[in-house]
Amino acid sequence: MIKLKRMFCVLTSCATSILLINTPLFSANATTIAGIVDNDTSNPYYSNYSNTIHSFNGTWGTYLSNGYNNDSRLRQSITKGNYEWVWNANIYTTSSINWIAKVYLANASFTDPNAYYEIYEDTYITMPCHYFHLNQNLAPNGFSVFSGTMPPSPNYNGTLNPWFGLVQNSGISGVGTGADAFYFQFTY
Amino acid sequence: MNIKLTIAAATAIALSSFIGVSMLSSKNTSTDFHNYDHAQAASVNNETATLNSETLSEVSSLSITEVPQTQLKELEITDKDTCYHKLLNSIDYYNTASGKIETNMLNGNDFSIEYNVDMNTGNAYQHVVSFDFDEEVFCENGIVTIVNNLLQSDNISSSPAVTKSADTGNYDDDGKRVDCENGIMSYHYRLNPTNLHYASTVSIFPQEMAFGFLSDKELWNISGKENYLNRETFVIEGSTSPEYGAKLNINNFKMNIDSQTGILLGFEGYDASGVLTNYMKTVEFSNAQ
Repeated sequence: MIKLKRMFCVLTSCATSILLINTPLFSANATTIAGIVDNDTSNPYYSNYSNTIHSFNGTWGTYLSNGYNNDSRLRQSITKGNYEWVWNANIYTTSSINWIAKVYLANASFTDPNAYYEIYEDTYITMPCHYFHLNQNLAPNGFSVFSGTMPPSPNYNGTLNPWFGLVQNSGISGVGTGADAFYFQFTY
Repeated sequence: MNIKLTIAAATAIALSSFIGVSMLSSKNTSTDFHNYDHAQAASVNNETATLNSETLSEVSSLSITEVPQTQLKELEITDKDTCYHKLLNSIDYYNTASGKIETNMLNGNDFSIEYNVDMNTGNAYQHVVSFDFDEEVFCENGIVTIVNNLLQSDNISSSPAVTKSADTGNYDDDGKRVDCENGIMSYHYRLNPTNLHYASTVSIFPQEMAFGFLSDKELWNISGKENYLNRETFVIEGSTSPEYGAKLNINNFKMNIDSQTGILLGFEGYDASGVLTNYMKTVEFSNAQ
């Protein structure tokens, strides 16, 4: 039986408070793009986009008036759903990219033992570049930092364009998954 | 048993494995939120096929996987610093391990976690069960497949596996992995080459617990050694920082850390009244390398 499906779930998305830095690093040709994407900063219903190329249906959890910039989101559900941080870094490179992702968590209600994060790129189709898991219950408050290298892409047009990150809740009952500020850094 | 998996996922898994990037096939529906070529994407995304073991093998064979043999490091636990380092970097001290864990540290309910990991071959297995949760993880041929056994359909997600060789960072200096800027702490995690998150987070690669319980070395001490499942373990006893302890309802704790591997074999957390609130105990364990 064939039925229609779509691959990527985004129950909500938002992108505010982007600060982009374009700084030569390591060599004359190296460039670093970095910024913090925070949620709900200006609008509790998170419709304040700084990047206009996305939309959302429904909500991802509830709004909290605490956390980084005094806003964050909490999802309590056994149904998996994705929360998204979008940046507009305009990176298109045929080189490998060293990436750093920092997720900010500081709330006793963030207890998901298996929050799943991905960084997506989009040069022709959206595709995850890297992922990592974090136990939000046991991770101490602050930024949890992950890093790695995206290899040069043999994608359709041969470039990498890291575009957005997401977190997905584990689906375990009785826990809360948090989404707050997301720092990204790409050096290529 | 037939399992449904989107053709999109299979295609993307193969492609993403080829280029060395990750892929998640979500069971959920999507929105038209990105400005890519939807006509092109539709040909990838919008069909579902019945996937049997033969098909799964076919998908796996498309991946290109290199799992170089990794040398194990050696470190004898002699003091707090070496004890903390070995727990925080346990994956440097073993390549294979299997066992069974009982714990209430995932959501307060009793869970069992069976695991078997071989980082030489890149193969791994994990089965996590509670009264309302049943999930298996299979890692083979460079692909991690997660199966939710409680769902009748849409119950699979996949992603390329992480290997030890993929992480080229230098983690010799623990001091560089915790820092503070503008009053906000940062904790630097390593990518997880066991590809088994639940077993890792409470036992075989417990980075969150190492940071949370042990990064402040004033709060704990090595109190001795104990035999645990016929393994030599170092016993750590300590108290929690107020913020961390309040979240977990743990005032003081005890850890049993395997001397050879740095794997956390046992954990007990007690509230201020001395009541056991959090536990993790390994009930079966073997480590060949």
